[in-house]
Amino acid sequence: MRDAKPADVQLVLDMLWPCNCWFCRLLTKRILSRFVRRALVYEAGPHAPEAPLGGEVMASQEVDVVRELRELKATTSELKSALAEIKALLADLTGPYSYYRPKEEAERVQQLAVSATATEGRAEGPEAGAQAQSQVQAQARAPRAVEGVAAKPSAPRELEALADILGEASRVVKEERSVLAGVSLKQAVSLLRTAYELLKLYPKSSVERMLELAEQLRVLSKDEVAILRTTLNIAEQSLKEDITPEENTMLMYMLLKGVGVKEESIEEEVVRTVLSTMSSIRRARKSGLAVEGGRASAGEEQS
Amino acid sequence: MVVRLKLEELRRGLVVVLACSACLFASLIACFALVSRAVLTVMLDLTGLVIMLSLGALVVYVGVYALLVVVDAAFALMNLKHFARRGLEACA
Repeated sequence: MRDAKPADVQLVLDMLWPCNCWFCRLLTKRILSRFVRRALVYEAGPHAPEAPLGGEVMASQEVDVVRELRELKATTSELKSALAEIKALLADLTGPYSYYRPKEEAERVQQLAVSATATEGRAEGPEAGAQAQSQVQAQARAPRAVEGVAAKPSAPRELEALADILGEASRVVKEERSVLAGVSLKQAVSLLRTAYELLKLYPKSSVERMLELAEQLRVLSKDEVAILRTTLNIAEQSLKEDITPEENTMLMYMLLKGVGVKEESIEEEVVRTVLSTMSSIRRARKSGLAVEGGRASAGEEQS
Repeated sequence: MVVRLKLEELRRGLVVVLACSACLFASLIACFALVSRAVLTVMLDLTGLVIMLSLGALVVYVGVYALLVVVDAAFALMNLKHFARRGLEACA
């Protein structure tokens, strides 16, 4: 423990009482400096005992700790914001539209890929060419992702770019929706057939129990279970009303046609149904003719 | 090297500052009252009025400073730890 240095006293005093007006210089600081000189104590070790000082004491270590805590908080908040940015970037990259790029850029990437494939393919064969293509695509994708985070163009250009992106995104969503609808309708038709077959063999309650189990095991989602239940209900009602799956497909086709929706998968099914129906009618006619011919020959023999 | 500030000494210093400023403020007002009464008693004319006004301006000027120091010292006494921490940041 030793006496306070005048420079330190002045420093502490300036920090304690930052006002430097004539009144403070004349009165306040003069009084305070006397007390600060007495209050300021130096100690050699970091764990020196506090008892000899007497009374309440605040050490510079505490201030250090407070300062470090403050810095730590600032660092943590910076890290949090960085983490949020990384999450957003990951969401951008792993999202459904991460592989989407405007037409011009896609063409440019395609050209790059083609040229790279040609050069690499000449040198090392088809596998190396495919690798080069994927590399080129990755290179083309990477700057876009970085641009999204770092570059901030002027407002009108940004707005225009945003409008373009939104327009393209809505177009892609529409296409995606149409593709999904096609797939689901095709699946629905085959599902309906399966449901018919199942309900012919087993009661509906047993199938529903299996569905419940699948739902509980989370093998099927709620939407999928709902779709399956609806299909089962349709199949059950159709069986009761003696409607065949082909007729149901035709019905669906007519309904969709009425609304104005064209589905190639459904049309294929309809063509297949019509063909099978025509062939069955033809077969029936042939067999009918054969039966009639048999009956006529039998009558002639009797007469 | 660890620097420590004895809060008791700081408190004492702030109390002294507060008391001195408050006393100065009170004495300024009292002096002004006495002097103005004397001036107005001795010369009740334009000169007396001018002297009184200039004295009043001086008292207000000094009094505002004193009052500010009183308020600052009172706030520092209320948050003594924060006050001491601010001072120790210079040494830390």
